[in-house]
Amino acid sequence: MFRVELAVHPRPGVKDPQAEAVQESLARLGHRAVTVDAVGRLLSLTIDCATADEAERITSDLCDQLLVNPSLETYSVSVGEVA
Amino acid sequence: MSNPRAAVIVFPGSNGDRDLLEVLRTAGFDSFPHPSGQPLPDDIALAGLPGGFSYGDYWRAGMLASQESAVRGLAGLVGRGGLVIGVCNGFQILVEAGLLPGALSYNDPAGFRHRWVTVRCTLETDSPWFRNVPNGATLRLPIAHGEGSYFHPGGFDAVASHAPLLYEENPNGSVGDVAALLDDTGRVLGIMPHPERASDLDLGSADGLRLFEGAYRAVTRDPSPVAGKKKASSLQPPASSKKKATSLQPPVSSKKPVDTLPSATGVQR
Repeated sequence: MFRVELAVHPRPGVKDPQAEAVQESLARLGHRAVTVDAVGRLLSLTIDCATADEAERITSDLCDQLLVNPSLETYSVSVGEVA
Repeated sequence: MSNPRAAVIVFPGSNGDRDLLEVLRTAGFDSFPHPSGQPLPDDIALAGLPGGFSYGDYWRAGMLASQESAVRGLAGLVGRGGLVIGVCNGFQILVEAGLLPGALSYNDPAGFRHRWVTVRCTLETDSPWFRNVPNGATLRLPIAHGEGSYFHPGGFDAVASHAPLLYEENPNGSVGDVAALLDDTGRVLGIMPHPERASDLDLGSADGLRLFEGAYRAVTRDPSPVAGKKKASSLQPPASSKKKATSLQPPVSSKKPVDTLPSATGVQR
């Protein structure tokens, strides 16, 4: 059993108006040193499989089939075994 | 003879379905609501995907709805010569389903926009949806969306031949001012403004009705000329539907945008 954290990010170069809007709000609070690089989404999964590689492959399939729009987004995956 | 049937697919979170039902009825169709989780009937000439917030726009607008049974049947409908229109959230669903290329994302600048806009027809097309809207015509339509910014990784050049309507003043950062998109067949139309909400002068504009009346004329093979509409000379490209399409086929002329509909033969209004 593996715990997977899937993070979906805006593809570099694609306009990210959410990040700009959050940036403006943080700046209004006085956080001038902070730059919001991107706003994305996080999906936490538990996958019943034998190896971390398999968990990563299954997650990759989910992204290709549904969860990631390759025109706009990229993603990263972290996998850990559930004790 | 009965009128051609038009299914309006109702998703959890749709809110423009009754407007779409009404305008289709006004245009001459026998329109009816159809639950998104049910397979599409075989005897329809048209399917409409309404505006709204299907599945609350969870994860990505239109993504969850794109997996519904009725949406999965749209390619078959188009293959049989049927017509499809997706308005606003319906446009997002068509893109997520791979029936139209590219992506729709957050408005730029960010924020929900709701106001009247002017869009201009910029294509000479035989698409059934544009039988009553000639190249160069302008339409006054309302918008109401937060994720209407059209994007294609190939830029505007990649979709210019399939973009029938461009914003006069871009409200959302769409590449190339794209307000609507046709598929290779010309039978699938995704449109971000709301033509169904501009179908009566009492609403401020009846321009949107022209799209639906054009569809009706195509479905019923009404040959009568329309004032201001010159005969289209070249049509949209042919068929090539693929999941998450990222490119479009080069234009190929076709004079028979609707040729195999099961229920529309000989119907006159």
